[in-house]
Amino acid sequence: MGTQITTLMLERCAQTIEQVVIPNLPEGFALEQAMSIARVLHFLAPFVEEKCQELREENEAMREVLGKVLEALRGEKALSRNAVRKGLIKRLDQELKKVEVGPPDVSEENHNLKAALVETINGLDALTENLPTETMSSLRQEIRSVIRQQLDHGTARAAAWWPPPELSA
Amino acid sequence: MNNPELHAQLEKDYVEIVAKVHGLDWQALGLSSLGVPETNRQRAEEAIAGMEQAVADNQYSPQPVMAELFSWLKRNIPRAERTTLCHGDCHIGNFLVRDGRIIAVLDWEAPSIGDPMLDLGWSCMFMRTVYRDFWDETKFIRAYEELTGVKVNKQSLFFWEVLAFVRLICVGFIGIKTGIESEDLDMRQLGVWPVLTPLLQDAAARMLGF
Repeated sequence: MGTQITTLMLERCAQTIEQVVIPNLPEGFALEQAMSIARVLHFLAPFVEEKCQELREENEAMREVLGKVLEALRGEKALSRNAVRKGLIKRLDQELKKVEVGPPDVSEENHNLKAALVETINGLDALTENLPTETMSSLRQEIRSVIRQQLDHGTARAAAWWPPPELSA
Repeated sequence: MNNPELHAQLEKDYVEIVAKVHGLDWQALGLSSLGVPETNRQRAEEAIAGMEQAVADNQYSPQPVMAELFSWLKRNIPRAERTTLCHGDCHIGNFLVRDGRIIAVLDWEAPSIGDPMLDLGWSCMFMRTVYRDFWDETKFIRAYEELTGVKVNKQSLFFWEVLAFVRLICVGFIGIKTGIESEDLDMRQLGVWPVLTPLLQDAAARMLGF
């Protein structure tokens, strides 16, 4: 099934709940649940189609910034014995050199790159006293740009749905 | 909230009560049993560690946004300048109103002895978001300073406001996992938190300039 059909089906489910089910439910718990379900379905509907492209964009940005971190760390020869640096270099090298077997799984790649990014943020924290201030500042800025992209993806849909119609009435 | 006089009275009641809670002699009241922090960073460190664990226990995928927010918090812990009783969930939604006056403070599940900035940060975060109609956070802080005679350290307040956002985001993570995995089929958490959590993350990131 193409993503467009999935989106249409989810929207249809939400409309059916709103126009057929909800008007026939008495006030109470079941009605609250039906309204919540309709809201979730509306929220998810465009998600399916947009998500794939967003994930690809995020993956590309994360690869780029992790590559820059790797290069910066490799350049810090004075820290050659630092365990955190060595560990992070190994981790990032492994992640960025991964070869896909079979069709690419954008979602799995996104998950793995995010895990590597989290470890990078924590690793850089541990290296705060060791890395030159300028290098650290530049890397943090690059990481924040990547995170900003992920936040923008997350909020684009959420902002259209907050507050939910019944709370803003 | 449409009645200006009533509104003004509630603002006055609110700040007076918050100031009173912070001004209580917690030692004389036997509240040391809540635990007294050994360092002036302890409460902040505990809060951050607790929230990190909450995210780790409730996430479905790695969270670089949260890692960055925790990173900032850990690098910017302020020194607590006072040690007082803290309510722990201090916002107007937990204050009972009758006949135009606040008559009770509810939800004392999370009291502690620590930096009162915890309560001020939480209050201000709610005034920026859920209870925007109640009060402007700058006016609230000014009123608090006038009442208590204490100058609120703005850098410290900023830290505790960011922490407040992160704390509410953690509630969102827990809400989503509960909505998905709990045995009773209740969609209400999923009708709110998947939408609200990214908005709160965005707000926290913008406070930090990204």
